[in-house]
This record gives sequence, C-alpha cells and structure tokens, in this order.
Amino acid sequence: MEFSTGKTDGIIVLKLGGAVRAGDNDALQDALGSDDIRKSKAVIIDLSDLEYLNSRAIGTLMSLWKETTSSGRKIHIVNPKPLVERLLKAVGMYTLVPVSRSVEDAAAALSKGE
Amino acid sequence: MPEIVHREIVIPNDTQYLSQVRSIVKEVVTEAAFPDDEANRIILAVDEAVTNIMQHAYEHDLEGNLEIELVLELDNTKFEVVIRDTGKSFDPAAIELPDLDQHIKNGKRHGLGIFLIRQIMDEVIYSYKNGIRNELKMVKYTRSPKSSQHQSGC
Repeated sequence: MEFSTGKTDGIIVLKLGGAVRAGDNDALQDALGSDDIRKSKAVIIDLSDLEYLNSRAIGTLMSLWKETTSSGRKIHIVNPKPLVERLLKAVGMYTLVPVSRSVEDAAAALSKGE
Repeated sequence: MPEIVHREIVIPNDTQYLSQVRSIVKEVVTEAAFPDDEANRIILAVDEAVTNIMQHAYEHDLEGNLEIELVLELDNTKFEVVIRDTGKSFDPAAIELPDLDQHIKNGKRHGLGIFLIRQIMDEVIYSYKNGIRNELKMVKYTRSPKSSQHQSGC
C-alpha cells in the first residue's frame, strides 16, 4: 500500500495506491485517523491508483465516513478502479459517499457545499 | 483452457503467506475464462476466507505453528477451492449477513469479509469434523449469474 496526503483550503486529500492487504490495515487506520484528517473541514480520498483493498480496509473507509459526517464535515471519493468500485458498491458505500472523477471535481463540489 | 487444473498449497498460520495464496489462486483462475475483474474478486474471496481462518480459527499465540491447506481445482465449468484447517470451528456460511445500512451508519470496521465472500462466490459450503478439521469449499462457476451483476452485486 502507498499513501500520501496533501492539504488545500482546509481540505485533506488522501491518495491511496497499490493494494491494501492484511498487513496494511493498521497503517491505513493510522493514516485515516491522523490529526490532520480529524481537524480538516473535508476529506477527499483519491482511489485512482488503488488496485485492491480487503474487507477491513472497506470497513476503515466506512468508519471514516461515519466519523467525518457525524461531525458535520464532508467526504468525497475520487475515481476508483473497477474492482474497487464494485466492492464499494456491493457494500452500499456509493449510496452514501459522493464519487467524483478527479480531485479537482471533488474540491469544486465541496466548495459548493456538496 | 485445459480440462482440469489442480494445485495444492500448505501454508503456516501467518498473514505473510497470504501473498502465496493470492499467487496460486491467480495462477489457476487466469487459466479459466474469467475476466480480469472477476478473477480479482475470486482472489479477494479466497484471501478473505484464509484471513478469517487466521483471525478466528487459531489463537494468536499459535500464529505460525499451525497450517492451512488449500486445494484448488479448475475445470470447464467451475473454479473450486477447498480450505482446510485444524483450528476452532468457524462456519462463515452460518454467519448472519450484516444489515449494510446499519453497518455503515454505525461505522463498524469488521464483519464485511464474509459478506463479500458470499457476494462473490456461487457456493460456500462448510463442514467440520469434531477434533479433526474444518473444511470450507467455495465454488465459482465460469458462467455465473453473479458475473453479470454490476449494481448491487459484487
């Protein structure tokens, strides 16, 4: 698994890449639970380079959605690959989390309060 | 596609060996007419099943000391994997599927692996011989109705 974070106007962009497998779950949980993310006004999760994620990683993303939205903040997902998209759809995340084609589209939507 | 592909692997109860599991499953399913994304979902289902055994069937202090056996078979109609272990009984087919709405709304991190396995595979059959072993058989047909599900299915 690879990840990087950036920040623009209070919005955190977390980019995940590679594959999230059993040995990566704790690192992912730590990354998503960082102070930067907790204090941000919105979170964009860029999945465009993520090839694979296991069920626990999906659960960690769900948990982030719960934490973010319950504190009145927003979260967007960007451009998941077909396998990741199907897994997220299967567990119902697409009905809850807005999905954008690019980080720029997600940032624009967030700036409009979407 | 060859008429029958048969592979067996025995791994220690340690998550570092999951990569070997994924490799051998990939080797077998790519012999079949499964599209790439279907093959990747099958790999994920087997990975989740073996991870569940490592997390639930064996106690943590036994990590690495016990073994998990996988027998994979592919023919013209289906891919089948049988996973055997000697840990505690754990029947993923008997686990009640989570209410996904509640699961998401409650922010739960665990419990989705079995849901995904049952979404991906056509058959999930568990058997337990007391004091001997657990056996989990999972089947994916090459012409599976689940293969064409795109919206709600996996």
